Amino acid sequence: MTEDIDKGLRELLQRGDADAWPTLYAQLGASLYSVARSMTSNRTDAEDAVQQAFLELYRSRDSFARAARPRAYAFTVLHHCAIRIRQRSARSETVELTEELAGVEAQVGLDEQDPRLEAALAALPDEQRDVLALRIDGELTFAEIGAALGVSEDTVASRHRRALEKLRERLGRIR
Amino acid sequence: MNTHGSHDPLDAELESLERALRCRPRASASPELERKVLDGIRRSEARERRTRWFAFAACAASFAGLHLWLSALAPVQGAQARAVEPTSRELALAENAGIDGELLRQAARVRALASLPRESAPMGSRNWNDELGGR
Repeated sequence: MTEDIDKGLRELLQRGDADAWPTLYAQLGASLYSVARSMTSNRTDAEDAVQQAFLELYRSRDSFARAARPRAYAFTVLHHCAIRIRQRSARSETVELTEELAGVEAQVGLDEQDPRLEAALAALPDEQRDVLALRIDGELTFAEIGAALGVSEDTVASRHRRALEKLRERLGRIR
Repeated sequence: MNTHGSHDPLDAELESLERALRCRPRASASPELERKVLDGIRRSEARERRTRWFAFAACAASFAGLHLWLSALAPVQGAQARAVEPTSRELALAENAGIDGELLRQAARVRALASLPRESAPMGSRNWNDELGGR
């Protein structure tokens, strides 16, 4: 499945025609945004991360086209952008504030997500939340996540498990 | 199922939680985001095109300037090179051959004048016959 997507992306990039980027956005935009939304604390930061990621992908389009797995490459670029945005926003808000924001967004219908689950996800440490976002929203393998984050596959697997355990614990407490 | 083949209740619970996460409604991007992303790429494309054009124009202008400068300089440099005084060896050889040294100096001046464009030749020396006839 992801091999087909990678093949399609590579062909699209190598053709380099005028429609390539709108088509790339149509193929990658939603999942990149979904991952960015999990990696950052609010909708604006997530949109900024996606915008910056697409610009960087455009600037590095030769490497993007040559990448063995262009889809994983796009998520790697997105992760770097999300880190920069997190640093910029000096993510110092407390979990309570994030929960409050998630609640507000749900109330006004900005994000049709479960605010309780989103708040529990937001409470995870960045490194664990990033693994979960890339695994669940980005549908990357542990090896691809390891390459994106610059850590071993085992580290990814253990962060993934710890993240799920913390999530279970937190959701249990909320229930 | 864990690595030992047994089904740990915690593992089962974590797997179920992961499935729930996969099935949860995802945050959807606003339609505005697509427009912003594609506008950003178009602006970047235009900036790249402008940069390439300026680099080409600067390169072409430098090349043209260099060409003009060299072509303006070359005859003068040639004239100056040819306008050197005869060497002492040349003068000695001329003297041995019974040729007046002054004549050699005149010949060097004529060679210098001949290599200059007519416009840049000094006043009064446009007519080489006058110059030579004056001798």
